[in-house]
Amino acid sequence: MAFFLQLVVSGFLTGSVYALMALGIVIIYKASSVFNFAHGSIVAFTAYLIWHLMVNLHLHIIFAVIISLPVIIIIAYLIQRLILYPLTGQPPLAAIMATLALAEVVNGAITLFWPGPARTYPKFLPTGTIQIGTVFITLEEIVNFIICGLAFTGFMLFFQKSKLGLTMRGTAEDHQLARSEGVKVNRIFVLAWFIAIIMAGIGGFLMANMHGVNQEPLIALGMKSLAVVILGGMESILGAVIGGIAIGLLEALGAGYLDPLVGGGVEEVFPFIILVIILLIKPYGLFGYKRIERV
Amino acid sequence: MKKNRKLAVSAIVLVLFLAVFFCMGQAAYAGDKPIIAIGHLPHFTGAYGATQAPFAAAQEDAIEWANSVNYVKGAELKLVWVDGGTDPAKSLAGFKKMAAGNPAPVVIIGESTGIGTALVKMHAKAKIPDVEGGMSLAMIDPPSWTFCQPPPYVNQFGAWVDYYLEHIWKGPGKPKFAWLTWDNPFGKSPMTKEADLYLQSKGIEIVAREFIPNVPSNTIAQAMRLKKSGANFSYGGMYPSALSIVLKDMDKIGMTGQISIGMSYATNLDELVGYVGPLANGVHITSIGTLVNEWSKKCPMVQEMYDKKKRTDNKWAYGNCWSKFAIAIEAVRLAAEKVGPDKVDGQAVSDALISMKGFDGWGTSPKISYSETRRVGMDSVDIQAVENEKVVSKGYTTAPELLPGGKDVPK
Amino acid sequence: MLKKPCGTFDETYAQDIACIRTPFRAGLLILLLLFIFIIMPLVADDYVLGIMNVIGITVIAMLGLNILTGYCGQISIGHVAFIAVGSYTSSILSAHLGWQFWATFPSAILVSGLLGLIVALPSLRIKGFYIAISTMAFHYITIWIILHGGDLTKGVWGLPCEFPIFFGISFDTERKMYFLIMALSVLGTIMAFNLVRTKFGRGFVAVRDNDIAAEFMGLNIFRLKIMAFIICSMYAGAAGSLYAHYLGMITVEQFPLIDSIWYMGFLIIGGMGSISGAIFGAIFYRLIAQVVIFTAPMIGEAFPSLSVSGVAGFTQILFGVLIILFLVLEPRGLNHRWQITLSSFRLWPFPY
Repeated sequence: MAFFLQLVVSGFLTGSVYALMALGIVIIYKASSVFNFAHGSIVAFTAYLIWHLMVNLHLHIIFAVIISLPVIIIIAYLIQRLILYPLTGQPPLAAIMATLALAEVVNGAITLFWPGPARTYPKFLPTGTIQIGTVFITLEEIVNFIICGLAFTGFMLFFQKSKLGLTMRGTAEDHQLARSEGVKVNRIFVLAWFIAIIMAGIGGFLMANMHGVNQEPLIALGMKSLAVVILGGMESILGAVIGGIAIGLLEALGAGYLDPLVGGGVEEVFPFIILVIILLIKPYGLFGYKRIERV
Repeated sequence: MKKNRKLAVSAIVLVLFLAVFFCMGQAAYAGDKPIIAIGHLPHFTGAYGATQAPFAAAQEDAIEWANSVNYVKGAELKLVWVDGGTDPAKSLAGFKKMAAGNPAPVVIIGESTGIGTALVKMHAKAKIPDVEGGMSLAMIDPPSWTFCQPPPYVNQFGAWVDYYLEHIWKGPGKPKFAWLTWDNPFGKSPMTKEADLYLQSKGIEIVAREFIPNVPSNTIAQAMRLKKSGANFSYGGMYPSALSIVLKDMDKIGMTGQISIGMSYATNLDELVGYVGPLANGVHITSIGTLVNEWSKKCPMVQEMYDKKKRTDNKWAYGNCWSKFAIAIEAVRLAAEKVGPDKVDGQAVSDALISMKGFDGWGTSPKISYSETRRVGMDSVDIQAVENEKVVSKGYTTAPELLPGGKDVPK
Repeated sequence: MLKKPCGTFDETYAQDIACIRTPFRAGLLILLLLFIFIIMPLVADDYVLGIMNVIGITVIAMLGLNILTGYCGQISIGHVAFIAVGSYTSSILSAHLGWQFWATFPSAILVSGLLGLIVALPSLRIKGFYIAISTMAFHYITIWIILHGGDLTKGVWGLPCEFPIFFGISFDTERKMYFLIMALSVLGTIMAFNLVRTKFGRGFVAVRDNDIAAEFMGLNIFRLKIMAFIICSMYAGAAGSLYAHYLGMITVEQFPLIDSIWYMGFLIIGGMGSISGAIFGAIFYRLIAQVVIFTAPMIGEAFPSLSVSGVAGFTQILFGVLIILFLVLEPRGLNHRWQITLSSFRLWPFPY
C-alpha cells in the first residue's frame, strides 16, 4: 500500500508538469489549428535562454524573466509572420510540417549558441524532503506543483474573465466571424504563440531544474506532451491537464507493477497502449470536440 | 502570387544547382609532403550533441599536435569530418562522402555504438578501418574492419565486480547485486549470459533488475524496489542527466549511501556532481580515460594543447576524443613506417592496427592491444569515484574477459 | 489529371485509359529508363551510385506512404516502424535460418502487411491526428518488442543480414546493388501507378476527400482503409528488407520516430497524392542531406570564428530553413510546380 501511494503521489506531481507543457500545444491548436511539433525544442530553447541570462549575464531570476518576455514576443511574431501567415489557407499538413522544420531550426540555434554538455541552474529553490505517512515528497516537487497550479489558474482566469482571453476563444471558434467583428486575427495568433512559448518556458524551467539544462531530454519531454494532448483531446484545456496527470500516473504505475513482469521499459510504452484503448472508446480523446460531419 | 512563383522556381533551381555543383567534388591538391587524411564521424547535433561537443576542439588539437611534432614522419595529417547528427541515415551519407573524398581517409573514427554497428559492413566494403568509440558484439565477431576502443561493457562490469569484492565489500557473507541501467542499447549491453555466470561463480545473487527510461522524469518505482531488494551494489550505463534523477529519487526515500552504484565509462562524473552535488558521492565508474587532474603527469601534450588553445570544453570528453585519435594516428605512423608515407591506405592502417600491442594512447588511456581475432582494445579499466564531490582515481584494474568464449567466463 | 497537348484526341476507350498517351511521352520514358539503367552506371562513381541506392530505397518507402496518406488521407507517423519490421524480418530469416534474399524479401513484405492489417483496425473509429498518434503508439510498441526480443532480435546488439545472392553472384558492391534497387523501385513505381488507376485507387481518393460521402456512395470504407494500410506497410516492408540487405547490419537505433515524421514532411514537400510527388519527395529528402554535408566546410571557412560544433548547429539551421522555404513558397509540393512548368511548356507561346 505504501508503494502504491508513493507511486500515485509521485506520478501525480510529475504529471502536473506534463500538463503545463501540453497547455502550450493546445492553445496554439485552438487558435490556429496547427499542431506544434516544435514545442519540445522551444521548451529547451527557453530553458537555455533563461540559463544564459541568469548565469552568463548574472541577472536575478526576476530580471531574467522580464528580459526574456520581449525576446519571446519577437520570436512569436517572427514565427507567425514568416511561417504560418504565408501558409494560411494552404493544406494544414504543410503548416504542421513547417513547425517540424522550425524545431530543426531551434535545435540548431541551441547547438550554435550553447554547445557542449548540460548546464545547471543556480540553486534557489528550497531543497529537502518531507514525509506524510509513508509517502515522501521533496520540496522541489511541491514548488513545481504550486507553480503549475498558479500558471494553470492564471491561464483559466485569463480565458474566462479577460476581454482578450474571450476574444481569443472566439477567434478559435471561427476566424471569419471574428474578423467580421473587428478582431485582428493575426495579432491573436501572435498572442497565442506568445502564451504557448511562455507555458513552454515555465515547463522547461521546471524540468531543467530537475534534469539540468540539457537539449535532448527537454525535447523528448516536449514530445511527450503530444501524447498528453491527444489523450485529453486536442481542443480541451481541461483535457490537457487531466491528460498530463493521467500520463504521469500511468507511467509511474506501469513502472511499478508491470516492469517486474515483462523485464523493464514499460514506462515508455504503457501510456501509449492505454492511449490507443481510450481512443478506441472515445475517438476524439477524453474531452475533445466531437466533430459533427456533414456531407 | 506571381512573385512567389518566381521565387519558388529560383529557389528550386538554386538548390538543384548547388546539389550538382557539390556532387562534382573538390579538386585535390598536394604539397611537398603526401597528405594523409584521418576521418572523424562525431555527432555534434542530435541526442549525443551535448556530450560530444568537446570533440570538435579535440579533433583539431590532436591533429595539430601530431603535425607539430611530426608524429608521422614524412607526411602531413589532415582532418576530415562530417557531423553524423546521431542519425544513422545522416551518418551513412556522411560516411560515403568521406570515403569518396580526395584524399580519401585511411581511417575513420566513429563515435557511436549504434551507428558504428550499422556501418560495420560499409567499412569492410570501402576497406577503411574504423576506430570506434562504441562497442558491440556485431562489431568484433566476426573480426572485421572495426576496432573498438573501450573494453566490452561486460568486461567493465567484471572489473567493477572484482573491485567491489576486493576493496568495498566488508560485511560477512556475500553481497547482493542489482542491475540499475538505461533501458536502451547502451545501457543493456553489459547484461549478457556471461555476466550472470560470472556473478554465479562468485556466489553473488542478483536481487533486482531495474531499467530507467531514456528520459526519466519519475523513477520512484525503481528506487523503491531497489531499496526493498536490499541490493549492496549495482552496475549499468547511463548518462549523468538520467542518473541524477535516480539519485534524487533514491535520496527522497532515504537510501543514499546504502548501495554502491557502478556505471560504465560514459557517465561523466564531473557533470554528475554538477547536477546533484553531494548525492553523487560514492558513485563509481569503470573509466577508460586518464583522470583529468593527472593529464600534466601522464599525457602532458593534452594539457598543453588545452591550455594553448584556451579551451573551455568539458575536459573528460576532450580527453576521451584524444585517446581515439591517438590510436588512429599511431596506426597511421606504424603503417607509414612499414609501407612508406606515400603508400598508406586503409589496408596498411588495418594491418598496423592488428599489429598494435600495449599502446597507451599517449598516456590518455589504459593499454590497448589488437590482434587478428581480438578487436576490443583495452584489457584494464581505471576505477574512478566521487569522494566529497571530487572525482578521484582508484587505479587500474584488470578487466576479466567475459565475451562469449572469453578466457574468464566460468564454465 | 494531366492536360493533353493540343491536337491529341481520344477516339477509343483504349486510348482514354492508356498510361502513355503520346509518342513523345513514350520517348521520354524510354530516355529516363536508359538514363537510370545504362547511362548512370557508366558515368557515375560509387559515391553517386551509393546516394542513388539510398534514394531508390526511400522512393519505395515513400510510395507506400503516399498511397496511405496522399491517396487515402490517413496520416501515419509510424512508417519507420513498418520499415523496421521489414528489416528485422529479413535479418531474422537471413541470420537465423540462412534464407536468401529471394525468400526473405517476400516474407518481409508479408509480415509487414499483416502488421499493417492490425494497425489499420482502429482506423474505423479514429480519424485525423488521432490515428496519427495511434500509429506512433505502434512505433513505440515495435521498438519495445525488438529491444526485448531476446535471441530472436538480439535486442540491443543488432542483427547481421547477408547481401543478396542471385545465381551465385553476390550483390556486395554499390554498383551491383544499384541495379537491384533501381529495378525494384521502378517496379514499385509501376505498381503504384497502376494501383491508383484501379477501383481501389479511386476508392482511396473518395475516402480521402470525404469518407462519409464515400460511404453513402456504397463504398466499404473500412475495407478501403485497411487495404491502404496493408499496401502502405507492404511497401515499407519491401523498403526495409532492401535496406537491411543493402546495409548488411541493422540495429534498433536505425529506426527513430523522428524519421517517420520526416517521411511525412518530405512527402508534403514532394507533393501528396501523386506518384511523381512521392518520387520528388524521396529524392529531395536524400539530396538535401548531401547539400547540408557539403556546405558545412564552406560555412566553417566563411565564419572562422565559429566553433566546429557551431558549424554543425548552423548546418542544422540551414536544413530547417530550406525546408521552411520550400513549404512556404510551394505548400502544394514540388510536383505542383513541376506540373505548372510542364504545362507552360506545352501551351507555349500562350500564357494558359
